Amino acid sequence: MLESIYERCLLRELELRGIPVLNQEEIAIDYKGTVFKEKLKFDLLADGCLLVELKAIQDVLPIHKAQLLSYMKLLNVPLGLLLNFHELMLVDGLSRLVLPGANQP
Amino acid sequence: MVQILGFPGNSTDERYRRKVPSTFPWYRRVCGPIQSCYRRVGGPIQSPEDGEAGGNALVKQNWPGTYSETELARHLFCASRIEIYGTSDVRVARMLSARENSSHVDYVGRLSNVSGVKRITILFPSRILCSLRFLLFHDEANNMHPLFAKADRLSGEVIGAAIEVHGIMGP
Repeated sequence: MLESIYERCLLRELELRGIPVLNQEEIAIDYKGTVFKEKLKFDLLADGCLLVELKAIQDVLPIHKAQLLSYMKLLNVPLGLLLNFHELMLVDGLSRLVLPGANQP
Repeated sequence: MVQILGFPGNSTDERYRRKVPSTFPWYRRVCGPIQSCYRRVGGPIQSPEDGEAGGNALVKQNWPGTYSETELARHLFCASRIEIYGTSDVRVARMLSARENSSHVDYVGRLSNVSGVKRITILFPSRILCSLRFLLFHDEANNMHPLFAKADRLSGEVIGAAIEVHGIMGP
């Protein structure tokens, strides 16, 4: 099934649980003095602190994790979940990513 | 976290290498808590009057390292208030006179009860290093991402929602 369908369903599920969700945000990027704004599109950002990337693929590749990590870095989100719905058991397709250093006391 | 960097005599920073005469009024008040620390970390009880050399050995043996605020407070539990000053005689004198006239918080550490444990808070907004006769404290900022705890709590809820979706719409 298409990722977009899972995305819409999860969006509704989180909405029912009262968790505010975004799927795009405009961020300001500062690179060596040049500041520009860019609109980022991602799957789900739950309550401004947890980024969720949905996949429906055979195998999760390192590139998918890298993509999620770059979004986390750009949005300064400490935790990310990569969910691959193309698994019989969802736990087998679940990856939890932490922004480097975000959980160090 | 509070990191104990060592004694002024140990420090590579010249500012902390000077000795503080034991005749200062605050000296006695500080000695008690420090000696109590020594007892609690299992080291030999040694009077600060023995000088920095003895103190340095003690610190080398027991103290360098990073301690949580509660852990440090456990060692310093008998102190109700710890005054922290710079090692410069002039500065100490100035701080003493300032303390008499106003509540100068830059170099003042306080113990307070937080969640049933005593906690030491060292307040020095403009500086991160100071000395307490022998010991140097470095107040490490909490580096944990401010949203991490919230995200961690939320992740369970989101995974639950995803399992629900997967159960209904999954392969």
